[in-house]
Amino acid sequence: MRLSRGRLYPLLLLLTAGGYLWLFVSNDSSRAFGWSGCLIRYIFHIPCPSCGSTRAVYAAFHGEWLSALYYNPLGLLLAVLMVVIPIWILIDLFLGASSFLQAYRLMEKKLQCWPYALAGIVAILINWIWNFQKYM
Amino acid sequence: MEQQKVDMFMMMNNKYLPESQILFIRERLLAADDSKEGFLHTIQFKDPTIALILSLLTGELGIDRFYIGDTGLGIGKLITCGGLGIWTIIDWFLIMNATREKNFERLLTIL
Repeated sequence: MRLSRGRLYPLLLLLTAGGYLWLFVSNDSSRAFGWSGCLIRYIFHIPCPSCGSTRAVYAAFHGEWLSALYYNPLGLLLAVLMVVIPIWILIDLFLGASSFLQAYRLMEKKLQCWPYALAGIVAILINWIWNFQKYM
Repeated sequence: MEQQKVDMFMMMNNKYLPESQILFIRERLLAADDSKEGFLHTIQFKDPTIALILSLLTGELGIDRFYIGDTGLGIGKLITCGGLGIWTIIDWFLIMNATREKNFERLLTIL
């Protein structure tokens, strides 16, 4: 799938919209459908690396940065992305530019180099281990 | 390139390439000059079956997307629990074609 501007932008907008929708409904959905949004947790009963990020995003949007950091540091990243991505994309669409796409490609290329990839993998693993301690 | 070599290449690699582009690729190969041949044999195509297996087992962590080279989407999948499990399930059906499209892209950068 060549991620051109016409494909990446709608996909990301859809994802962010999905994210906001999830924030809106997630409070009761886990009680109502028994679905907390995580297949790994549902099947194996172990936390995944991003468990707790719904709570973290929720806390971050209420200005409680420290508790967001405690729930899941990835949630903080997610909260920033959920604010930045739609604004950036809308500005791009408005101006007819593709600066976001270029930044995305650059980021992808950087992360495929092994020092960055290794750092990312280690960070995710550490976060996962921490999640095991918090949520088991 | 010679017809025989092109046929050989297509026979060996057609399972890695998107069905709808096979004829187009064949024409491009026939039109390409012989100096490209060395490069052609160096391309390593990603296997759609492996992508599917990765998607079924570790789709929740986005590893299938990382495997085919969609790093950005892989990260998206990883930090959202596989798109709350929904994207994971959608990708079980999309990943084989996405792999073939990626291979096609890789081939086009050489041709």
